[in-house]
Amino acid sequence: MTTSNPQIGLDLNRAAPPDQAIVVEAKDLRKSYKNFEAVKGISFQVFQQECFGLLGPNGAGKSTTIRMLNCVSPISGGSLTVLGQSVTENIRLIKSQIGVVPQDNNLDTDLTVLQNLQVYARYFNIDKKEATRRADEVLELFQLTDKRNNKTDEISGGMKRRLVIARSLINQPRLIILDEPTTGLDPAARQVVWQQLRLLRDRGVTILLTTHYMEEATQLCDRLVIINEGRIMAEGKPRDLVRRLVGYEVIEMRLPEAERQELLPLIANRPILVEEAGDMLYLFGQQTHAFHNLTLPEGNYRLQRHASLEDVFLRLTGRGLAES
Amino acid sequence: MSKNYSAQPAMTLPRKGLSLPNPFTLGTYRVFQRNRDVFLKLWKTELWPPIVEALLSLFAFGFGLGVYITQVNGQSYIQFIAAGLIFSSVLFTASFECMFGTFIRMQQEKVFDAIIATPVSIEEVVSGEIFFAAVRATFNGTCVIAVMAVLQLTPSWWVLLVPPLALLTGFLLASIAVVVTSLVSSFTSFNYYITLGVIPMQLFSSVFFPVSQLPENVRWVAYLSPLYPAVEAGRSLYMGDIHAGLLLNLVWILALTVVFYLLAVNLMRRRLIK
Repeated sequence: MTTSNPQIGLDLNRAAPPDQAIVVEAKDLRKSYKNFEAVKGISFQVFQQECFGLLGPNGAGKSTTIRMLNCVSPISGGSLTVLGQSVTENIRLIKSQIGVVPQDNNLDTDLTVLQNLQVYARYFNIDKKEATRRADEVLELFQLTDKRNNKTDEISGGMKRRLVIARSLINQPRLIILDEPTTGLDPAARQVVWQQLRLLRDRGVTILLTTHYMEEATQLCDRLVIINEGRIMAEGKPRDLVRRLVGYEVIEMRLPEAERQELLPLIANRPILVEEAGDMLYLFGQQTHAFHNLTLPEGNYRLQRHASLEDVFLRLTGRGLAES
Repeated sequence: MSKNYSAQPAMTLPRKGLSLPNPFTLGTYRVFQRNRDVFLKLWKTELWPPIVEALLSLFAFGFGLGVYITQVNGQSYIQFIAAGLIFSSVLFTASFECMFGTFIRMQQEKVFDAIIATPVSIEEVVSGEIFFAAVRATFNGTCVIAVMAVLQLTPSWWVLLVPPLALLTGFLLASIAVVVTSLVSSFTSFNYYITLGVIPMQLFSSVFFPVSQLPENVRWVAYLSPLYPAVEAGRSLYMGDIHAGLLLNLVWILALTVVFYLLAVNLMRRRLIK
């Protein structure tokens, strides 16, 4: 039985389209703590007006990378430039032009929704009149106008999340960096956030986000990298990654051990990749008609579906829970 | 509109080495404003206690204890204790603000994380916290002076210099509290500093009785206390007893302030910037 090995030739396709400026550039970026290296030399570029995704399991190094991008964690090696400035130089300049959405909703719970935005705007030296105008604008954008004068501990979790995202726009950033923006949101609220992020991108804002949700990455990201254990495993457009690394269609099935042996000859001459994971068996059809006229042994469970980013993700990062 | 950030002091994230920040920046003021705004939202519960506390303590000590102790070093006991209570109030306000207040903002509410994602630096966050605590402490200490003034028990105009001294003392004591906060992992650890730091400082810094009453071989405890020079200098200003020794007290407080402020900023940065 061939157990697939995610040995992927990286087709990085680095050349920037001529009209697109580089907004973020990481070269061999590293971060090490006392006795462990969280980011082990990653390189990527984010172009203007692009939505770029950083995908990876828990502990992959996503949040560490985000913290370095936000200039709150010094880099240990390599280089990182944000909006043309190195994060080791004048970081006030970088911070004044980026919008940051952290994983936690770190709002001021004693203040109202509007006051949260006003106080935050003040850190950017935006005067009160202008801050209030912008606050009303972003509240409208994220459908929070009704809650303008509520205290933030009176609004729902989903609203808090939207408020944190709205807050990140108060300085009219050129780049927004979001760490798991829609974690904890219900499907409707998630749609609102996605729509607004797409609108912002269309207005010229560059977006960099991390997510666990493959659907989110598929919906939003123009390009993405998948990170595992501090290294980039793959980079590309979501659709291309799916085609290149898993294919077109997937059959997932549970099959008794004995019958698995019968499977191999059946698919031997077809462009099919097989992967075992626990009691599950995955067949990845790497061309459009890979499964055409194929009769497989009857398993206990069988599903044929389109290949998705989730398949790419799981192939590259492993199906085990590697949280340490 | 946004100001040009290149005009402000450059800010970098050096990995090692001592940070020697300027505590008087716009960013520091922004953090101060944030704390002030939240405080004033809660003014109904926050503003009256220091005034009532001043009244109660002065009543208890002055008219209770004062009956038995009529004179201390030639002053009436109520005046002696008033000067002490000003700085006792500064001690408690500054210490608790920068222990529990700072810890909650840092650890539970994650306010610091929100602020350092903006152009404000961690050094400015720490400085803003200390400034706010110092101003709050000064307000509470000044409540004691106000009550004494109403009772016409302030003998000298030099008393007007007590609030500035309280501000400096508050800054020092808040810095020490931030040092403690930067080292603890939970609330309960504050007990060590409260029991072994704050309470002995209050008891043995000449707040309630002159240090000369202490047995000679334990007087050093008072001389080590950062509160002691403040109480001594504050009491002299309160009584209008101006002499050269005041300057020595002031220099000592200033030196301690510089040391603990730098420690506070650097330890906090070490804790939060990883």
